[in-house]
Amino acid sequence: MDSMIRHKEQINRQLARYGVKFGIYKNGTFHERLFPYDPIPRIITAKEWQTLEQGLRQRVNALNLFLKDIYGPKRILADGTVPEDFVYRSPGYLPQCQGITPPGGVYSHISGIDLVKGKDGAWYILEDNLRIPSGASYPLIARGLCRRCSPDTFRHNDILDNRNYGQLLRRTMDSVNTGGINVVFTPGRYNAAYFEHSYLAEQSGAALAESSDLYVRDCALYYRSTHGDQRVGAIYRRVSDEYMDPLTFEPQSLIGIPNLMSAYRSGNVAVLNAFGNGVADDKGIYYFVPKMIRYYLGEEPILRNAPTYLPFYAEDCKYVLDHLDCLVVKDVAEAGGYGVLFGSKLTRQQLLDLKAAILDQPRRFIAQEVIDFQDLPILEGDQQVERKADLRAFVLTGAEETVVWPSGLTRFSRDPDSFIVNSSQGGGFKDTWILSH
Amino acid sequence: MSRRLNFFYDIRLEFDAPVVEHAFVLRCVPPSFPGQEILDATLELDPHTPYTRQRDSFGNLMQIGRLSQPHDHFHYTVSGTARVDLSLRRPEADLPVCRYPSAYTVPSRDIQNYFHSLSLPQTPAERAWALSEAVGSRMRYTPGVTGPSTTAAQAFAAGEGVCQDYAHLYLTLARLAGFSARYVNGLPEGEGASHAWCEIWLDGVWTGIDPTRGKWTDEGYIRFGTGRDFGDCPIERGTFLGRTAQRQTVFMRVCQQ
Repeated sequence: MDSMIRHKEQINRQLARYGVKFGIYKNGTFHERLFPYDPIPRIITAKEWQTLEQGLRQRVNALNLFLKDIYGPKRILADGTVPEDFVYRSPGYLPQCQGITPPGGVYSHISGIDLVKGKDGAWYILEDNLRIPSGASYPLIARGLCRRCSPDTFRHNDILDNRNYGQLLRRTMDSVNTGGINVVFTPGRYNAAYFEHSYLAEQSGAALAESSDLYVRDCALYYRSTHGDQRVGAIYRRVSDEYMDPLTFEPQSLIGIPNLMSAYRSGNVAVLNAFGNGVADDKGIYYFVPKMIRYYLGEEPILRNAPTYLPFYAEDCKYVLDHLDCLVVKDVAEAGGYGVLFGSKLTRQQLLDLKAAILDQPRRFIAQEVIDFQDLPILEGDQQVERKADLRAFVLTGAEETVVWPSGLTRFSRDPDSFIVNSSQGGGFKDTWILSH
Repeated sequence: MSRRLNFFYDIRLEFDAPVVEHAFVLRCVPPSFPGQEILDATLELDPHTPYTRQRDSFGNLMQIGRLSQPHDHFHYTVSGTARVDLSLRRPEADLPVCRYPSAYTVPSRDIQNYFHSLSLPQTPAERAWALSEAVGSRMRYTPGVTGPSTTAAQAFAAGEGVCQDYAHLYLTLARLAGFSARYVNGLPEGEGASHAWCEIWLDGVWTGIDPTRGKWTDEGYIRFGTGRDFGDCPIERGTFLGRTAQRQTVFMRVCQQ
């Protein structure tokens, strides 16, 4: 470990040199920022990982079945297990996708599931990210640099190799590919995760494409390459649904591919992740994921949700209003750590305003108990300090199987008083070691 | 009563300078369904362009294609014969998504207040009718003040607009009243431009109501497409490359055979 700590500066320098950057929008302008790396890894034992792995596979399988149901027969709504309000009012629900079965029947191919470990030792799911979760490249590239700086560390500790992410990604794309090449589709270099897009394309052997590199002809997608136009069988897109096809979604989008939807509808191209997944990772629908696991799989959930209340239900609403000062309230329409309010930090007036807002639009909010989660050590100068941290696990689902990448992105908050660890809020990251014993 | 109607619909897009990479989706060929039988329909494109037929998730017929070569106009004409007979309309499944606000039909505070100020009658059919009158009493038909992206809230604030705006306002109010209601694009009997109206799910039947003209639809209406709002079923949508101004000329005619 000491050797890792000694190499902190060296690794951060190398990360900067490789262009491992994160873009953030602040006051409307785009800034590129380095994503600070902390050398002390998060360590997860083999036994603990086994539970996590099973629980994550189970959760993602249930979420995929939910999406297949919602864009198909909608059994879970007809049964009343999920109230239809939570589907039809969700901005992520896209009726344009009704009746379309994606190649291999997979909707969420690359899922980023955020967890925290409580002081009680249990893992809790914070949120599911089934649209375009980012972040796998950071631990991936950091691991490579660490192995070079300190090969002994990896010889003497039984750490599962995580450098296979590119192969896993490729296997996932290949398994749903409808015939043709794989491409990674990026909005371009002014996107927060452009570094990652180019890195993952390279690691998975896919072509990196922007909108001008792609076009649709006769309901099939083509890539303009230096050797002529090539048919695309799978597109791993890192552009939000609404900008993907100006002839189906947001008409003003300049970064999309006109008529991509016609190729997708015909089954001529696999889109990773599928359109319309936002309906399943909505903060409101989170409450129902344990129910989905029982409903579709007939199993008890292995991993827990944070205790969550829906003001939509009268009983929950009363509890939330009575205990607002000790709950965390989330606006379901916001993402990336925005729209999260800790009751304990609000003034009397703010609490009253929040109560009024909840009563006015109960569907818009969820409330959760504040989980007392374990802090992780980080280095601040020469000092070791404790900070809040979470873990984003990457779960890959192809036509045949669901696998969990034996690694993940551990993000921490640099602000000692903050519980919010999103990279867009200025945190850092560390490597995540999964031990083989 | 069954009627046979001849329809003719003609759109010319003209560009000041040639454009390329022109991708398009048309929803201008009326489909057959109980109550509307299309006896024949022909679509002609100029420049001549191959296209693919698909149906979208609302069941609308689409003609999808791409002109990659430079062109300074895009002209499409659809013509044919329809047999319309409302007595043949059959109960159909509800579309729950059409009970919820969509992009064009989010009720503003003003629309909500207006809705709550209405005293609505008892039966669903009477309520559906009263909402059409409520639209008519607030809106003045004025071409040119609104555009294709105008929402119901904006049109309500302006107090004027065209058929698309009337339809969006009607849908907003109908959904506040708990109805499943959807947007319809198509051709009414007569000459001029295409028209927009609504369908409301009454006793299991999607029943047409035209808030612009203040009437239930009759056998003089030919439907192209439906959706939550205009955004789901535009008659033509396209993207192209080129710095140019675009002009559009529309002509349509529907008459008794």
